[in-house]
Amino acid sequence: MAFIEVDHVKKIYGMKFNRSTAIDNISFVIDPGEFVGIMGPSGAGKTTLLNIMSTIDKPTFGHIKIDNQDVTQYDEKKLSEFRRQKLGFIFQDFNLLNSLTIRENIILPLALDKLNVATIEEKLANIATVLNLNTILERFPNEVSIGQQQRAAVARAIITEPKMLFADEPTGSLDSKAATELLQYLTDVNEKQKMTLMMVTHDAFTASYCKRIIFIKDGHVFAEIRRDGQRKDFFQKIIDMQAAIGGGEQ
Amino acid sequence: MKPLANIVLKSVRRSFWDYLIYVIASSIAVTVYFSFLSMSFNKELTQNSRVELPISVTLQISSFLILIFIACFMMYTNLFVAKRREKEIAVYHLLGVKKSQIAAMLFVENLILGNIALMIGLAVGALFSKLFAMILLRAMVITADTNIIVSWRSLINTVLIFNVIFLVMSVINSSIIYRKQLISLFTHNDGASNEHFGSFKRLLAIVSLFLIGVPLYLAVNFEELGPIFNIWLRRNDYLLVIVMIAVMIILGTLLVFYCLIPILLRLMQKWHHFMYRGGRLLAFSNLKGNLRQNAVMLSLMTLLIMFSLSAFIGMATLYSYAQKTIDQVAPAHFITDNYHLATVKKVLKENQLEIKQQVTGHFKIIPMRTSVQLNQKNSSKPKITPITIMSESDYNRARRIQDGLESIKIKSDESIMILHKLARYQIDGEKQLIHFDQESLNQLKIQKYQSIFPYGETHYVKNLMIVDDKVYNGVKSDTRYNLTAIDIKKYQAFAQSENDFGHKLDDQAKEQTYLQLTGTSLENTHYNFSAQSKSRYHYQNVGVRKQVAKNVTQLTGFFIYVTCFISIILVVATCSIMMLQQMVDLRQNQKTYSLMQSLGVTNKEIRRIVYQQTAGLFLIPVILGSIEALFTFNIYVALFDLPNINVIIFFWGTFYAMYYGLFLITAHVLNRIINNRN
Repeated sequence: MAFIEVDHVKKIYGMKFNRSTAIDNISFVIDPGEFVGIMGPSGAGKTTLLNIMSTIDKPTFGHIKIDNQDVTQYDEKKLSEFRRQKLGFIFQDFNLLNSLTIRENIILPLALDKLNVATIEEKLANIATVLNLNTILERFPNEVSIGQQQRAAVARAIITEPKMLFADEPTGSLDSKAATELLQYLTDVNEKQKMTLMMVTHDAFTASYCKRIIFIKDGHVFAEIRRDGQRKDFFQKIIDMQAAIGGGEQ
Repeated sequence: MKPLANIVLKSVRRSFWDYLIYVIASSIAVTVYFSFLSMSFNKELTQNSRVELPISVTLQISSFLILIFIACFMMYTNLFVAKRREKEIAVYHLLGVKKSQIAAMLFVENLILGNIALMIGLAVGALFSKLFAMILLRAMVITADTNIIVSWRSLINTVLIFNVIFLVMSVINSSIIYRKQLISLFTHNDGASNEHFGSFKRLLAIVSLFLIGVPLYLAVNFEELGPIFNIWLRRNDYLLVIVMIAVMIILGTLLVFYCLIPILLRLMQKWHHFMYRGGRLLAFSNLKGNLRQNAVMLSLMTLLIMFSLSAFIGMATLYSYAQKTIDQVAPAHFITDNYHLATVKKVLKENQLEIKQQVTGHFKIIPMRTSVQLNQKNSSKPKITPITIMSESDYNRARRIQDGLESIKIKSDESIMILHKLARYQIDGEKQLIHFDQESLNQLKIQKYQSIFPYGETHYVKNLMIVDDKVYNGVKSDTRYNLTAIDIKKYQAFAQSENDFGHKLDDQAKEQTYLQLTGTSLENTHYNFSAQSKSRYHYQNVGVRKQVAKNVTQLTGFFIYVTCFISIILVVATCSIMMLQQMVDLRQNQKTYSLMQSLGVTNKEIRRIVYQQTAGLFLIPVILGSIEALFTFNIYVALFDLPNINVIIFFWGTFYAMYYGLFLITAHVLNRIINNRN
């Protein structure tokens, strides 16, 4: 059974004379434990789609069902609760809070959930070890490297053990070594913990870690490709598709 | 339009909110200064008072104090706004705009904004000065029309002074481009946390505790400390103690905000059981950031709150002091010497005021020689002054009409000295040598000092000495007079009546009898009463309680008004700037709140976080300020009198209510901005 159902979703911005359709009648499903990439040229509607699917934005028409629940019908309070319990986010610019230490940034979602301190510390210890963050926990974001900041952002996203992780250009600010490490980690999370992942990117190398890629152009689904062999071959397929769609930006 | 002018206009439009803060801050400053100055130049106001009050001077001094505050306050706001624009300035420079052009742009921009603020401030000030004057007249119980036409003198004064301030600030602003390197303008830190509490900062935190603790000790032991200074200063320097307390509190407050509070908050953040609860973590870290960025502003707020609350204690002291003064200066409805008794009785009869009771006391005035013992061998040059002598039974008889008078019992070899309260401090600290030319008086021991005069203190030339009846009868003096205290029936009705019957008596009351001194040695000294020629020694002939009460009310009304006015305006102004700063900061923190929403924080929780952090920001200054203000309680008690507690409760209560209102408004506005934007 599908984990996410995107059902005839349409998103229109603006009023009357300056309307623009960001997403035009898109439908697809994501199964539990999938690692899906969304690709497309600038302005194709990738981030809009991600925002709608992750309940940050609402569609103008259509429905989004996550884990069998129609989240487009939820009110603000219920949505917040849902987001907190089931979803995790990774952003391109990490969105770590400068006023909090790395430790505080990571445990923030648990503190908001009012978990007891022992549980919080235990979860933090686990994730900090896995992501190699133990030495920088007491530092502030601007005192650590970009790669460490992104790892901290990942830690914050998955410390709540969400069922679904959304990532918007997660490797956009990273050098190739840090990017590879991060992608390897995301793959591990996806395979070992069976966490469903959806990632928006326009970088073919990053996308090659996904199992399936949905290409969007001008608000429509343009094509869809699956990985069924080596990552290297999949990378080539992505490049070919990018050429067909009108090129990526890099 | 010239390109530079174009850039100026565009930059004003872009940084609207930053400028708004600047313009509002400056307008408030102008309004306050202008309306205060207008009042001090207003003749109707200053001349309508029946009391000989230095109203104009007091208002001008207040205006000057306000001006000093305003200058600091505007300088601070200006720096705050300037700092936000460093990046923008750097971009202009990078794009090839010359340094001189940027400097000119900033200069012109600042001057224009300043003058906009000046115009707004003057317009509002013109309206407000009438309102303020009306309240003042009411507080002073003066019925007069206040046809306040804008005073040109204060207008020109305000325009000139503020243009000087704006000019100075324009120069400072426009010099940024010359003072700073391009790279430092670009790398301006956006409030990211990088705090390290080195040992020096920790030491300063401890020093801040010391700087707040010592004034507390000084204030609690104030009365004992004055004489201690006598040892090395040769006088009881209470003023020095007060200045020391003030300086320590100012420094202490600054250090508390710079070192102590950040360290305490950091420690609290390590207390995970408290911190890891809902939005507390965020509220705390935002609060911490705010405190660090606004340490000067918050210190200023704390000091202003302390000043206001302390001034309110002062008002309460003044109030109870005033009530006591009425009783001490005019203990009976009418008091007259024997030379004016007939006139007083005649006027009473004409106005059908019946006498309820009357008491008469008899007095003799003699010369006395006083000097101060400097050390074991030397004493200061003796001074000859008059002293009034009264008998014990006359004193005790005066108690029939004067409730506040202590009952006394004197042995034949004793005397009681009645001195003004401030004179008592001098007596306590110095060894006084007193000598009379009559041996019977030289042998008397002073049993004690008192400060309440029978019949009211204005009816004596100087100090009063109470002696045993037999001793009194033996005192030789040619200068004698009587005082008669009269209470009438239905005083309340008379006191409340607008009937200016009093004029006849008022004129009598304004007259004073002078004491002429002849001869130079103690033995040859002789005093004579004289109505015409002025001398240092004089007493009031006639006292009318109604008039004294009215004058005292005017005096207290005036001071209460000025104090409340200054305190409230300053605190409200500071709070408003605080609020605006928060709004500007909010634009930077917008990311935080969007992120919180994507983490699943509900609007209600965000609201709680906003309220929590705003509460922290408002609470710290008010708690610290209140504690500091409580220190001053003892100083007032020691120097003047026990303050009226009800008056303190009223003023403090009103202040806290207003402050709470400002907090609610700030938190509400911030919350609305956040929740509407996201």
